[in-house]
Amino acid sequence: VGSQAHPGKSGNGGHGAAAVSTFDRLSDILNRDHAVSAGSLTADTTLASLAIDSLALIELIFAIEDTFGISVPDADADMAKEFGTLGELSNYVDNLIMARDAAASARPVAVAREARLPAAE
Amino acid sequence: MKRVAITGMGIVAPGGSSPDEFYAGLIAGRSSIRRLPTDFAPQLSTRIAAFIDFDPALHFVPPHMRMLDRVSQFALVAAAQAIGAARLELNDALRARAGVFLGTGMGGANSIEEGYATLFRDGSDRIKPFSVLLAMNNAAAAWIASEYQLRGPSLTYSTACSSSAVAIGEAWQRIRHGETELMLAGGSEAALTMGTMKAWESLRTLATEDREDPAASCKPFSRNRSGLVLGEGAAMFVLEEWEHAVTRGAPIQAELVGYGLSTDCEHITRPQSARPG
Repeated sequence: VGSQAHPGKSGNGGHGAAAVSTFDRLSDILNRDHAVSAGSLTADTTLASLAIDSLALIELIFAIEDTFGISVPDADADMAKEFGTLGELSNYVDNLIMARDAAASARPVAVAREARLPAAE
Repeated sequence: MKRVAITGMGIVAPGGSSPDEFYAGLIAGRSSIRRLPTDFAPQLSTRIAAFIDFDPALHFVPPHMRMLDRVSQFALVAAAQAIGAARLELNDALRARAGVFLGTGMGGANSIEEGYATLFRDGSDRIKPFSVLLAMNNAAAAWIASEYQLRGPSLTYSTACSSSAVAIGEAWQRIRHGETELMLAGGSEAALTMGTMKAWESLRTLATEDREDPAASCKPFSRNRSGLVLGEGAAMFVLEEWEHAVTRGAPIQAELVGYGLSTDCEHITRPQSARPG
């Protein structure tokens, strides 16, 4: 899993007034890549029940990173154990999106403040 | 020493993707050489090859398909044909010693090139997570062994043009010496990539296109021959110990009676002409 930030196709993280929820986008990935019928998925669906084995999981993580523009840490990559259900996986992705957005918004503010300092004084 | 029968054949080739279709094409003298339909063809000086119109979706479900380079897809389809034709009923005793020997010169060339394009052309580090599985030369043999649970030796030979012949000959040896009753052997190649074509072009070994008839560009033994034409495909055979085949009433296609192996040390590309190589 790469450590650099990946440009996501959109900043839509499923929070706020998002049109498509994280869960729905995860369902779309599973439908597209793993021939899982999206309509049959609920927050309680387990990855194990979808026959997502360790290799398929690696591919799923890769697709999640590309779709949401996030980077899943290596330590979390063993998600089959950590995230038994799609609901848990969805929450995990939401947290990473929030962390990414927080980091992105913190940086320009800090730079702007530094830039303003000489002029203000 | 045991005798060795060929009891099943499978093929995926530009000239036909079943033994019957392929044979009919040979008898009719049909050439499979044509202009490459791939999008990089305009960047090549030599744009002819023997390319297969192959739709992997007809043979594999998407999650499995994405783990298979084109070279493994060809090999698996050819292996399925061969095993079907041999009317094999694989049991545990047979599976425990049966193996897969496969020849390939360039293995997962398409996957290797795709990975390099991502890295060096697109400047991205988003290489497919299955790149290693896709590209490794032994993938095709490993997939076949895994598909049919053949737990004997699974080896991949890479000896340029002789790769598949070596794989078949070595498999013959195993049966001949009584080490196993059953081997799947053959070869697969799927290297019609931009990089591979360019590399051969650069070696100045490719035939120039026949302007009147691209299909006639390969002219072996002709005075106006200009080189070779690259192609792709796979062929797999079921090799079976003779008595085993006879006992189960197998459809014996041929007997493989001999095989020899030596090295022509003359030159890296030019075969010996004076002595048998």
